[in-house]
Amino acid sequence: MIWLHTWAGLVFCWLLYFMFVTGTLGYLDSELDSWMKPELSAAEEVSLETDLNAAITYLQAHAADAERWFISPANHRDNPQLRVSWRYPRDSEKNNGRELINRGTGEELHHRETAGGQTLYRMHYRLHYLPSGWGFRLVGIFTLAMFIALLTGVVAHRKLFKDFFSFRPQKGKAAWLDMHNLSSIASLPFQLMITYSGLIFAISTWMPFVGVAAYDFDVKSLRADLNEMRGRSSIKAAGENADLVGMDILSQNIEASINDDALVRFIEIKNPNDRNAKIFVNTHLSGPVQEQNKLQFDGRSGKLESSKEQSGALQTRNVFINLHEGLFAGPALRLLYILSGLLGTLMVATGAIYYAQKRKRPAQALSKQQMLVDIVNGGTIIGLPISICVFMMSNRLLAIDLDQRADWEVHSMFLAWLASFVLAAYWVKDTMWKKLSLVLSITLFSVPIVNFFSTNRGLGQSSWQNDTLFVATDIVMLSMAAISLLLWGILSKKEQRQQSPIRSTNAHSAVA
Amino acid sequence: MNRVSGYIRSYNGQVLLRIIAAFLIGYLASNSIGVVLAKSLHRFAGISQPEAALYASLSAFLIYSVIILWAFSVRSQKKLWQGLTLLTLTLSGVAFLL
Amino acid sequence: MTIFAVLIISCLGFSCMAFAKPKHWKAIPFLSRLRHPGKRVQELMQYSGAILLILAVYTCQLNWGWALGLCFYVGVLSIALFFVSLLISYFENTIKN
Repeated sequence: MIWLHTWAGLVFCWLLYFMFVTGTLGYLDSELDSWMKPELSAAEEVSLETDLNAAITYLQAHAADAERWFISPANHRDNPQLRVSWRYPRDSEKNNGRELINRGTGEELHHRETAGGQTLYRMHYRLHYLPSGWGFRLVGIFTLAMFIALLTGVVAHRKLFKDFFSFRPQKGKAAWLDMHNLSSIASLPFQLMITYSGLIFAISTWMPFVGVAAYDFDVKSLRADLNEMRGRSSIKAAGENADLVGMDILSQNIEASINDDALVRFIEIKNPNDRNAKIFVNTHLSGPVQEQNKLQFDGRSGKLESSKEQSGALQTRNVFINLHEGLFAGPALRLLYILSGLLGTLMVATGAIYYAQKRKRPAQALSKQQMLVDIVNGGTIIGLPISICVFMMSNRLLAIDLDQRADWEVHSMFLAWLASFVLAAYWVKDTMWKKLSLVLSITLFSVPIVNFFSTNRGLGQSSWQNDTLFVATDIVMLSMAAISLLLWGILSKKEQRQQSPIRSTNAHSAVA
Repeated sequence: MNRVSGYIRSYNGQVLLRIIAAFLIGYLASNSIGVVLAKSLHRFAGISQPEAALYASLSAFLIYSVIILWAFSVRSQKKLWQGLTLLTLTLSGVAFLL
Repeated sequence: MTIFAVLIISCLGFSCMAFAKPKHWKAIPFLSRLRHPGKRVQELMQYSGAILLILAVYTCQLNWGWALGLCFYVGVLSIALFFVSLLISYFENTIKN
C-alpha cells in the first residue's frame, strides 16, 4: 500500500500541482477576468428589464438570424457586465460571437484583448497546447490517480487519525512528511469531494461504456433519454417569422416565477424571431443542492410553460458538479474553498519535496536522477507561481494592439515557466530553493508596481476610490511577496547555520 | 523467452503485472459491474432506464478505484488474476442475459 | 460573523481533543507547569472536544441549513485543524529549544 501511494502520488505530483494551483485560482476566475480588463469597472445593478432590453436591441441589430442567443444580466460576481453571446447552427458559415454590452449606449464595451482568468481556469481541466480532447483525457487519468493516492494515503496513514496533532517541524525530512500528512488530513473531505466530482466530469470520456451497455448499445435512445432528463428537448424552428415577446412582459413573468432572492444567471433564447421561439431561464445557485432553476417560457407570449421536476440521479450528479465548481459560494465560502485548495496545493508540494528529500544521503553528492527530481520540483513548485505573475504582468505590458494578444499572454506565462526551470537547473547544486523564492518574491512584488504604472487603478488611487478588487489584488500580491521574502530569509539563515558544521566535517575528512 | 519469464518473476515484472491487472482488467471488471448495476437497478428496483444508467455511471469510478485498491492489496498474483477474470466474465455474462 | 463563531468553536474543540493527550498538554505555555490531570479528566476533555465540534455543525445548520451549512462546516473544520496543529507544534518546539 505504501509504495503504491508513493508512486501514484509522485508520478502525478507535478501535474496535480499545476491542476491544484490553476484550479484554486479558478475560484477567482471572474475576479481575475475583471483585473485583466482594467478599462472596465463593474456595471451597476439595474432592473432585469433594462438589461434585457439593451441586450435584445444589440442582438437584433447584430445577430438577428442566429439559432440561439444567450444573455447574462450584470447582477453577480460571475457577470460584472451585461454579456451577450450568440450561436449559429453547426453547418452555418457565420461566426458565433460574444460581447460585453454598455447599457448606456447599447454598443459593445471596448477592452483590451486578454486571455483572462477563464483561460487560466480552463487549464486545470484541459491543460494547454494539447490538441483538444487530449488534455481532458489526461486530466481524467490524473484525477483517478489522485483519488487512488488519497484512498491509499488514508489506509497507509490510518494511525494518524488517532492523533492528528503530531507534527515535528525542524526535524528535517520528517517535517515534510508531517506537513504533507497534516495538510491532507485537514482538508481530506474537500480533497475527496473535489477529486470524485472531478471524476464525474470524466465519465463521458472514460466510462461511457456503462451507460451505453445499459442501453444495449443503443446510443441514440440513450442520448435522447439523457437530453430529455436534462430538459433539453429539441425544438425545431418553424421557419415562419414572429415577433419576440416584449422584454417588459418577459421580465415581469420571470420575476413572478422565481424566488424573491433568486437572481437570473442567464437567459437562452432559442430560435429568436421564429414562431417556435423558446426562452430558457437559468437562475444562480443558492446552495450545492440545486432547487428548480431552469424555467421555460414561450417566446411569443412570454408565458411560463413547464418547470419539470428533476430526476434523482441527475440531481445527485448536479450536487457533485455544483460542489466542485462552487458557483453558489459567497465571499466567505469562496475564501474557504480557496484555503482548502491551497491546503491541497501544499499537500502535493510537500509530498513531492518529501519524496526528493527521502532519497538523499547527506554524505553523498546528488545523483543525476535526484538532481532532475530537484529541478522539476523547484521549477514547478516555485516556477508556476512565478509564471502566473508573469501572465498577469503580460496583460499590462504587451502592446494593446498586438496580434493575438490573448495567446501571447499565455505564451509569456509558459516562457516564464521555462525560464524558471532553467534557473532551477542552474542553481540546483546548492541554493535553488533560496534563490527561487527570492525570484518569486520579486515577481510577486512587481505585479502591483507594473499595475501602478500601466493603469490608473494602482494601489493609491484604487484605495482612494474604494476599488475593492484592485486593492485586494495588490494587497494579496504584496503579502505573498512578503511571505516568500520571509521564506528566503529563513532559508538563507538555515544555510548559514548548516555551512559551518559541513565545513568542519569536510576538514575532518580531508585530515583523515 | 527466458528473458521474458525472468523479467516477470523479478520485482519490477511483478509490479508491472499487477498494474496491468489493476488498470486494464480492473477497467473491464468495473465496467461490467456498472452495467450489471444499471440493468438490475432498472429491472429489479424499478428505477427508470436513464436514471439507472446515470446512477451506475456515477458510481463507476468508485467501483474502479476499489478494484484497483484490492488488486494492490491481494497477496498472491495468481489469485488476483483468477479473481478478476472470473468476475469480469461472469458479470459480462449476467449483463448480457439481463 | 457566524463563520468566526464556528471557527472559534471548532478551534476550541480541536484544542480540547489535543490537550486530552499528555504529550500535547506539555506544550501549552502556562498549563504545562501543572501536572496533567488524570484519566477521568482526559476522557472528559476528549468528549467535550467532540461536543464542541458537534455544536459547530449545529451552528452551521442553524445559520445556513444543511446543504450550505455542511460546506461551511467542512471548510472551517479544515482550517481549524490545520491552525491548531501548527500552533501546538510551534509551542512544542519553542519549549524544546
